[in-house]
Amino acid sequence: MSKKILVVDDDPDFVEAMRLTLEPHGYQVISAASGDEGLAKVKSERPDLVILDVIMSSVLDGLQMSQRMQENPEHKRIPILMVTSIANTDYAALFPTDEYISIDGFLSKPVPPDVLLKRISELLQR
Amino acid sequence: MTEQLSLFPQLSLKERTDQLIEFRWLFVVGALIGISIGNLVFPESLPIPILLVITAAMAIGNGLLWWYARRLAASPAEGREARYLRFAHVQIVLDIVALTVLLHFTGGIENPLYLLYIVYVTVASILLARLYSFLYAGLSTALFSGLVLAEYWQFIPHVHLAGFVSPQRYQRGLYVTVVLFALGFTLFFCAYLASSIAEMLRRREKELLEANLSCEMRAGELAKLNARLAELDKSRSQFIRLVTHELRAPVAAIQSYLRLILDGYVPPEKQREIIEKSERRALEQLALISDLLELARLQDRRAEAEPELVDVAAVLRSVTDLMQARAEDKDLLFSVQIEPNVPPVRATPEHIKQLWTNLISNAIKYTEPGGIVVVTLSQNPNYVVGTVRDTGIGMTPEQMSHLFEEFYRTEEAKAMERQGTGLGLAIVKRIVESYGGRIWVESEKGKGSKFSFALPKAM
Repeated sequence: MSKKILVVDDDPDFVEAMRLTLEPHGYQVISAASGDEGLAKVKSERPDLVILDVIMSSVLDGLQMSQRMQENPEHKRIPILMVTSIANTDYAALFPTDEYISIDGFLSKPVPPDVLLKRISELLQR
Repeated sequence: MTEQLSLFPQLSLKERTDQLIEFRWLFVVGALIGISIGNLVFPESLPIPILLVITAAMAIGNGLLWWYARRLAASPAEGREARYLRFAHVQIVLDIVALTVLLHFTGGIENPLYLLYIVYVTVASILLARLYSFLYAGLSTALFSGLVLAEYWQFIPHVHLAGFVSPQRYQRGLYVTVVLFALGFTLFFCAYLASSIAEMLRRREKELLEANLSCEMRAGELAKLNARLAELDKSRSQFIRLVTHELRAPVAAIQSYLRLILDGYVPPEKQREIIEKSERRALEQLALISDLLELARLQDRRAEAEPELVDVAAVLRSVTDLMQARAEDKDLLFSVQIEPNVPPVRATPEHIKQLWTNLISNAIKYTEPGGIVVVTLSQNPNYVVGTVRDTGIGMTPEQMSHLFEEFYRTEEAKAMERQGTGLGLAIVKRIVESYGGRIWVESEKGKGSKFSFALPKAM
């Protein structure tokens, strides 16, 4: 059975790029444009992995969405891959400590396809 | 701090009048001891019962003063200071009179305790204004002179202290004159000195308090300024982070697409679509960069051309054709109403053009086909007023409060129009405010919005 990956990003081109990268490798890609929508899809679709944009202009951004997922024991185990277009040195300030948000990986946009595929298969094998 | 300041003079006057009452208790005790000793030293000389009655009267009187002082402390704050001042006057007058009466029954001019007048004059000088210290020096001199002269001319009996000084001393005109003159001089001199020192101290105290107050005020201002700066700095870093994000996002998207094509992820029939999407992002990036540059230029007004007289109506007419065409493409009813004789404003023509273009194209963008966009230009006594009204998607009050922030776009606006830098209204606001004008918005979600701006008329 193919693994289901939820891509949460308000940039449709990023979602499209993820789709183009992942679908040829047998992943099923679903998407959400906001944190709220993403949280709803986590509940209804039960994805195997979530790719999350840090800065979204919606009410619930990527960081808050990952925190919400941690609060729910059912969703706590779903691996989260954070992706953002902010420069690498900046994101440190956004994460108080790793204790609060246990994300499983962090990638900076643009993500090379091979790097993305490698990280995803690692996370899914755990 | 200000409260403490206004309380201060009352507090000190209260403390000092309270002290007067305390000293008077000591005086009463001292008088009783003095009378007993005096009776031993000058047996048969002193009219003991009268002296005891006077002392008792003083004690009772002081009890009444103490009771009144307590009432004063609890009295309403308004006018309390004046009441304390009157109270101080009453006490000093009573003290001077009581001393004179006591002196009369304890030997008059033979009793050296008339030096006690100096104490009262000093107290008056410290407590009250300078004029009153001289007044009480005069009162003391007058009362004592009255007493001594009345005894001298034998209007009233003289109490002689047997075996102390010669019995006839109070009858010696020269001696009486010299003593009275010396006492009067001492009292006035004392009033002068004590009130000078007291005034100097009061002035110092006031200066100190004022210095303190201004220090504290300055510290408060600095703290406020500091907080404002910290806030500005925070919003600036926030802005830079947003700009970085907004600038990287399109480039990252384009690069991802190109990489996917190069790596063979994109089937040939899909490649054209992906390249078109990349181009759209590139155009978006260009628009964003020019908006950011515009925003920066508006901030740095030195780099700008001298403002000139701009006919706002003419500028509006010049953009009307283009806007009319866009509105017709979307099947919107577009109408422009310009009041005649609207005076010019002082500005850069490009800015006024951008102001109209941004507001009107927003209205067209966020109004569903079949809707209406109405532009008006009019004037009031001091301002040229423009409005752009639409029957578009509208906003909630919460959304309106963020509307002029950089990069802010409502979810509904994004859903309706993918393209958009989120800088248009920030630029508009900055233009209007840089010419001393004001911009505001009225809106109802789902019903439409009305943007209004007022620019000061050129003088």
